[in-house]
Amino acid sequence: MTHHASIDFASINEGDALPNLTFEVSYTTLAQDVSGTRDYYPIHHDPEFAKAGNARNIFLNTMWYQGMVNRFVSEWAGYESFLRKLSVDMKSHGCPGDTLTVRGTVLATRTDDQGRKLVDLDVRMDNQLQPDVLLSKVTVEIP
Amino acid sequence: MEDASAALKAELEPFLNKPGARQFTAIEIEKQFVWDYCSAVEDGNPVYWDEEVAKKSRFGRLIAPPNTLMTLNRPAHWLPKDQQDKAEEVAAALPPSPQAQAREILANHGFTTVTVVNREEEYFEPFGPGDGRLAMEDRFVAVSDIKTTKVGPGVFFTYEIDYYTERDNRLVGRARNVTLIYNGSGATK
Repeated sequence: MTHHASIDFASINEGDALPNLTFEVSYTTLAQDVSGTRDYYPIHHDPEFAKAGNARNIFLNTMWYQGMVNRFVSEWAGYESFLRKLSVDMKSHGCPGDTLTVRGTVLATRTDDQGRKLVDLDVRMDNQLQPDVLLSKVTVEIP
Repeated sequence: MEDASAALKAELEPFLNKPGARQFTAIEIEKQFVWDYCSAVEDGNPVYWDEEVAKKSRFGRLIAPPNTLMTLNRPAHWLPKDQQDKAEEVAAALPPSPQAQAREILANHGFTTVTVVNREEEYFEPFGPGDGRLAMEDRFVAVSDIKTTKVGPGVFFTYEIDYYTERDNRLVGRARNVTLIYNGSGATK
């Protein structure tokens, strides 16, 4: 895809929806998650171990979701944007074979006491089984 | 429960807001680390990948996604025995962290099982390849009254970790972790 530098801050309004992003989770995704986030806890790479703990299968970790939220936000805001705050709350497991849909809404735009232009966002992920498998609150700075 | 909460808070008070000794991440922030992380979520942001675009951007250089704090803090995958021993010696020589001491007090009261309720990260400045490792400094910042929860009696215990660059000691991020530390044997059926 072509990357844009920055969204126009003045064009952002409360209630705006960000373009959805769809991601197919495969076993390869889980391998890249383990490698990329340096997380060798067996629940993310050993299906028998994960299932013994009542999970459907091996599942994505917190750090992967943090990365996906940052990608989703910066693809909308542009590569000159900078994440200022991030919280993620996982409500369900993301397993191989799942289709994740990432969606986001603008909660507020504001300028802080240092003159930085900030956007507060509500970001959520659904899978093919249920909505809101991940809830996230984000603040991103637009130059 | 009110008296017990007040007594527990008085015991924890000497450790409140006291920073622990700095500890370093096991690895340095390097380009390949950034690319491996971005590959996992297929993030092609050019300020992580393309030196030319990154140099012309307001960051002036390649940076890491700011949300890699937790990933950078993962331990080494494997170390030779002598390196492992050395790392353990360095850790053992550090003074006890006030946050760890506060947790010991909670354990003495039967609050031993920890579950993370919420983690929020705040990013103050960009960091990236060339900044060396990250140094981390933790402190316990809040404790609730003793609560009755469905998993047993427990307290909400909040601690923060500040992250500094090794190269120039810039405060680049802060993680705030709210945990529930409880006594599982007191769970209601």
